[in-house]
Amino acid sequence: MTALNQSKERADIDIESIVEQVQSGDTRAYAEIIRCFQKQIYIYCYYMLGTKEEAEDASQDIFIKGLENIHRFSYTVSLSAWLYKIAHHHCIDVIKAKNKGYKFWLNMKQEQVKQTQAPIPEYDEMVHRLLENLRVDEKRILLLRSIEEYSFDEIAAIMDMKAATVRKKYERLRKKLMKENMLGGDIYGHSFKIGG
Amino acid sequence: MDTRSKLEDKELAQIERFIRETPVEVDLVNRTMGKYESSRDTKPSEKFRTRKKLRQRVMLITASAAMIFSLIIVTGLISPTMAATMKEVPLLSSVFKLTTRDLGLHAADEKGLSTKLNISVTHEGFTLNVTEVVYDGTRVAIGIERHHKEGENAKESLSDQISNIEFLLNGELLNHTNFSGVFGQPSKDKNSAIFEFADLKNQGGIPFPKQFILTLSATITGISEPFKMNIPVSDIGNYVNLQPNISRKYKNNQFTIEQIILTPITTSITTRIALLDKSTSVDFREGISIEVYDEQGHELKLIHGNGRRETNKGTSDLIMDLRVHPVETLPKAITIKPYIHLYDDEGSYQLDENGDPIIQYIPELEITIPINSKE
Repeated sequence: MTALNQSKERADIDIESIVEQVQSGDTRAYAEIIRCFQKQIYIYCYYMLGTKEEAEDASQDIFIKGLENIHRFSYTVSLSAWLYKIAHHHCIDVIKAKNKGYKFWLNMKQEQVKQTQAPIPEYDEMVHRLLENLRVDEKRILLLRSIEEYSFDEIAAIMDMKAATVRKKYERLRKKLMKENMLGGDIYGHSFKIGG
Repeated sequence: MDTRSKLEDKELAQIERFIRETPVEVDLVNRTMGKYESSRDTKPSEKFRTRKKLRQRVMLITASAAMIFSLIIVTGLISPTMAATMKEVPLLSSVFKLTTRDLGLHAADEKGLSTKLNISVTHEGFTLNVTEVVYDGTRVAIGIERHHKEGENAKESLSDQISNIEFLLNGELLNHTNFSGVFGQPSKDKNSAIFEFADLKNQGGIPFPKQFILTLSATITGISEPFKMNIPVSDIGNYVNLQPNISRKYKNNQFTIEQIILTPITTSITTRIALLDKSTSVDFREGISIEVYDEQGHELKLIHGNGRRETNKGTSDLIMDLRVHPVETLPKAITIKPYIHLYDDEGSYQLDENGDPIIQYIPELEITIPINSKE
């Protein structure tokens, strides 16, 4: 069982009463909700958006939106699922804004980048590289599966889709990832065939 | 087919685990609550502030996005598939000796070329032990073993338990700028593992020194403190270096064998593939792999390899270092047979009836290099 799961389970026990507290006006109690979900939401944003700075900013904004709208929250879905919905809409807004300025900055920065060559942690880098080829929908599914180990039904509820559609998309993204993994790591991939 | 999809499941599960276990240190509570309170105090100007901030953010993201595109073309990682193909063989003495697919390491043990070590670290009752190391100028290989607390017996293999592994060479962290990345190697049992890597000297990087102190830092799932050990490494020397520089052309590709290094434990081959017409977007160079044969038709099987483009440009030459099995005695010739995999409509390998990927040789690129033995 992962640390995330453990914290989630612990959170589930009293999260309901904390939500009630916040809904009745005690906004300070919301700190506990942030504490419980910050890591997961941060990872989600990190892989949706691409940088740590961006993920930090986005996570804060998402929790603020959550707090501002907590009176609308009811237990038709879990609190975490509700937060992921907010996270999704927020990330999409950021991505849209980012695409507008993208080309310009790419040209500006390219020369500089060649010189700076800051190392990127390799595992993160690999995940970013794999995710690059996925559509936003597919990224969402993979991240929700990965971070929360949600079932297809739960993901379907978050994404307003049928569970069967989520499952189909998951299959498609799996194929894409495997292809990417093979093309990118062709020489490693090949060596297994001779495992003996 | 069935095994294949199980393999894929395992790989996907690994990717999901990488995501889930992304190391993060975040504490957003105070900042978020502070931001919320100050936003309530200054509601009217909030919109404006957000916009400006957003613009600053855009700069940040695009800068790092460009970095990701241009920096790493091939990152050497422990391939998830590697872990999945780990084989089990009954327990005996040397970790190298019983590696099932690396004849070079087997030879290193047999010929006494590897250095036996007994360096260990224990955290929370879990002991990690470096048992041996060998460096032949082309690759560094390290054998490690685990020992549990009494009564405990993990189902997971040691490789699966390692969530992160890093190496420092004379105190300097090895990353994609100065080494190939870490390769896993099937080991004799679940309690042992072999990790390997190479420098990037053939791809424009700095060569590893003849002697150095290697620091291994491994994180075991469930144990917070990393296992750190210093390992003395020295080059066993004794190799033959050939620089044939022979080229062949096929379609838009010029394929060159730049260098062959023969050591008692590895045959290392450096190839360069250039695009003849750089204006085209058709580029299948990364799909080209090679098989290596001696003059008697014995295949020297692939151990691992890594490659990258010479510069950031997509059309720049692709340089690859491949490490294959060693030769017993100096052969009269070495033949390199390039090939590609065939893919189906969905981009997966086409498989033959045994479930092996179907390959197609490119005879136009085949090169035989005669070796004159003067010694």
